[in-house]
Amino acid sequence: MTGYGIDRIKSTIPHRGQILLVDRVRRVVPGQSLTAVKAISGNEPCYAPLGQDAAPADYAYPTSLVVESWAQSAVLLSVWEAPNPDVLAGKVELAGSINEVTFGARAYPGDVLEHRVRLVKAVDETAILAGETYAGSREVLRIGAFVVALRDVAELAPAPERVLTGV
Amino acid sequence: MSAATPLGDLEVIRTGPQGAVTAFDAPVDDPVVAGHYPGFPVLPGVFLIEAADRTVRQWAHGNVPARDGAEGGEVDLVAMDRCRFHRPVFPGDRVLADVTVTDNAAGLLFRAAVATNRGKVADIRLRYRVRDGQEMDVREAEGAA
Repeated sequence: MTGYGIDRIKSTIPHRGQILLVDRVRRVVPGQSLTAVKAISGNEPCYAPLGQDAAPADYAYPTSLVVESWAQSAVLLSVWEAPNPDVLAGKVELAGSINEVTFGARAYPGDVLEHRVRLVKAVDETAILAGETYAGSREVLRIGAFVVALRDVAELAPAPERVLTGV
Repeated sequence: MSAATPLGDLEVIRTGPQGAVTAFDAPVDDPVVAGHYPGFPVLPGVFLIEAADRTVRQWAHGNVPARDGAEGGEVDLVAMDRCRFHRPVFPGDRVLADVTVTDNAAGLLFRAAVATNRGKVADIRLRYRVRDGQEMDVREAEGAA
């Protein structure tokens, strides 16, 4: 296997467990571009509620999770050289906006999503990224502008006790 | 019809010719928020997109006419022109997704205002097309990969 596995991914971004939706980083040019993959499997939690009567189309991988998986790839590129694996020790990555998005083919269990990410601009702790997602030769997703910012946990907490609980 | 989804049931608060409002409680002890992020659980922003999208598709069932013999009211998401997140959603927050049809000329265009009791959390614009053949997704699934 070439590239970087889950170990490097988990030491770079804070996502864990079910919601860590990147399996491998194939290529990265820090500050410029990144290609990552995520394999879709029929045993993922989003399929658990589907019964015996579910139609083939019902197994389309949720669009929101395709966007999340691409966005995690985008965050990987933006913090590749300054990892932020623990939001309590560092900062929290929050999406500011996702604009000019088009959706193409759907993906299904057995598909491998390939996310291509380009860094458009980075200023201070805000980055703008763009890119696409493919399943084989099919374009699944195209993102014109994803804005992500690193923020202090303390300035985001809704109430003082939540900060104390977390820390 | 119940497609795969990462989000539990939505409660329909109101529905009418111009749109619909649904609500859900951001999960508290869900594995998703446990991993997003450990020590500081926030609902992934894409779940707000998921809620808006499902609200549109539920609304379409009763409000979009059938085409080409397809089952009435099926729509497919083709674009998200804009999505702005204003503030994070925390476990236990009651989330309201208020979806309004804004244009019927160039496909179906929707504006979604998503809010909690702390105020607006997201503004989303979604575009759909009316599904004109039920087998489209399946053909794509079996295509060259």
